Amino acid sequence: MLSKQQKNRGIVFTLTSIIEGFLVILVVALLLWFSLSRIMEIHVSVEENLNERHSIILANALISNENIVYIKDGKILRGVLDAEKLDKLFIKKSDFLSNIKLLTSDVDLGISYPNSIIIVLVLDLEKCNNNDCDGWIVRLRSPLSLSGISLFNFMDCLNSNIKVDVGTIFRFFLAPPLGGLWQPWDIDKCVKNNIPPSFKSFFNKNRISSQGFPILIKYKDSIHVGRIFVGLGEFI
Amino acid sequence: MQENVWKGLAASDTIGILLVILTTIFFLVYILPTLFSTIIETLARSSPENVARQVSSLISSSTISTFESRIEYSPGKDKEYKIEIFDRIVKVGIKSKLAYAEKTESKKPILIDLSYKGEDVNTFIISKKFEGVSNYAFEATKK
Repeated sequence: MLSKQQKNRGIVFTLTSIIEGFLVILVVALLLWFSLSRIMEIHVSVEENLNERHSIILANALISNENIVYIKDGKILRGVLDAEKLDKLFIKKSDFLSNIKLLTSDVDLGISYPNSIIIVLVLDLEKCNNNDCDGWIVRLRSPLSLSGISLFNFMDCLNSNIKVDVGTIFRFFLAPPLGGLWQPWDIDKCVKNNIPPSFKSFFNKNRISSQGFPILIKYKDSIHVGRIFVGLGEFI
Repeated sequence: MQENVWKGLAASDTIGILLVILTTIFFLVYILPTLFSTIIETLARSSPENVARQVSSLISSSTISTFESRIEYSPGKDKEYKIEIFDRIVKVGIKSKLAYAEKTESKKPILIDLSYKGEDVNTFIISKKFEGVSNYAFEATKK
């Protein structure tokens, strides 16, 4: 049988071990807090096909746009394009090949993304001959916005992520001479967030055109089934 | 007798160490990843990059409405942003007290002409009304 004193000694040893252990956890937690508040910086990079997303939004906006959509009693009939308005604003697809107007002139419908080349194609699926359908085509006017140019945004991003610390010395030897100023993931983030997919697709063969949206085309006395396609490419 | 005392002490030590090891494993396996994923998720959702993308997409998507629409977007009650809309570009920056959140601004394109400048805001409201022509309005407030 153990004496009372010896039993107490055992309990004291157990408590000491637990307290020591918890102190270790506290030190780890403090190191974590220090790393979070002083060293670590969380960067957000988004991987998506921005051109695809933009062309889907633009196609949706176009089939609600009052400049080309059929309006009845002051109400926009979404998805029903007015053939008369298309004749006025767009170029007939059959005239397109013999007319270079598409390359030189553009149309302002009040909606378009800046710094982009945007081609809109409307096909009448009930006027087809040997898989070649009649329709309209146009280049949308895209305003130039200097501050929106991807290359400037990319430079801005790099500029705001310059790191001068102890790691610079190592990075300088790994990727001389300018690579030393950035962490590799900073450069990766700036490319992902700022370089448009139309440029990146030259390197990775991404598809950048939408599959098109189903529409109706309202002629004077009939309605045809059709499809609208939006091709979009941002400047670098 | 003395031998038994040392055995008892060694057993107590082992129990103590085991308890600490179990707590540490629980901390490393459950609490730490949860903490990190929560931090990363919160920061990703409220980052200027994401907010600029959301605001630009919502402004552009408001053109889809054929009559009247009102879109309200609030990325976080405890966050404060500065926003500027010009030349069909949305520029968003964050005022964050968190050291580990990045401070860079983000710019994203929009479909329509709007002009706006605001600071210390966390709620963005986009309205559209069609009365023969489409009219758009944008405002940002602190809620």
